[in-house]
Amino acid sequence: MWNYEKRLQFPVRIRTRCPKTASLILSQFGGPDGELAASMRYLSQRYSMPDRRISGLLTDIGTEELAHLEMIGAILFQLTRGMSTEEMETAGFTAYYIDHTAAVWPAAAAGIPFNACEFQSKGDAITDLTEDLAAEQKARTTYDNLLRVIDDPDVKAPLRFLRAREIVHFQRFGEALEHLKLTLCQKNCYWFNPSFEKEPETRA
Amino acid sequence: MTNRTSLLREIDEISFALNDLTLYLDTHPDCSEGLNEFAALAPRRAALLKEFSERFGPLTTDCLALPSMIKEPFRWCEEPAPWEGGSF
Repeated sequence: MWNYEKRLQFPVRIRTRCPKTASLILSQFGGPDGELAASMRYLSQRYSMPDRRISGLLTDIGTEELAHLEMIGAILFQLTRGMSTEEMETAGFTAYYIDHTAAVWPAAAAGIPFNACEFQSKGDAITDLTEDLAAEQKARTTYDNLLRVIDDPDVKAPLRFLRAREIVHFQRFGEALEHLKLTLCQKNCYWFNPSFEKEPETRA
Repeated sequence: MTNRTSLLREIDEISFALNDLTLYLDTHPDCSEGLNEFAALAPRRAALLKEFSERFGPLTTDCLALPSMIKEPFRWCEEPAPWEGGSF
């Protein structure tokens, strides 16, 4: 169950329209390391996560990622609101416009539609948490890349906030992985399949 | 009296602190300092949400059930959406 709260996690107030910038930031909506993939990854993985503390963390971070998806949607909406056909052509936004007008639709910056193959839900606690750590770093790198090529301070402020959250999530997933290792059978020194390898009647 | 933007900013800040503390407490459930901080901030957020709802419109559907909010019209979809910019 979810409840909607009618505010952004961090305010987005963009005064200067720029479809070119929108076409780059689109990747954080529906791209390979974007917020939609992040949310779906954690909210899918939590069912098979054997440790209750870590499945709770996946729920909370997966939920926060939905708030980030909304912030990115707000940035895209405000950067393209009221754009003219000339602005669209100059920005290389015309192909997107033909299919989506000025609507927000999940795709990567290179135009590839959102695809669930961009994340995994493997059913192995160590595998999934290791993927989550990498995912947070990949998203942080994408924000670093965006911050290098974007100048507008109105756009940079929310992107900096989102970048900082990737770092915090990485930290929390790192703690979760350490916690999981401590609760594993000590004979399982290569840290594999800690939940599925148990006898069925003792599975958490 | 604070205006809409500054009251919303206060809600954003206290809500962020609570969100971040929740993630911290997920992996540090025995940290009494974190628990005390959480307990100190949560009632303040509830009071701010109530104040905002009564003055500027509801931020959650729970706010719509406050006695002061039970009146026509049903205001959930009447206020601006958060992605519109403006004072958000």
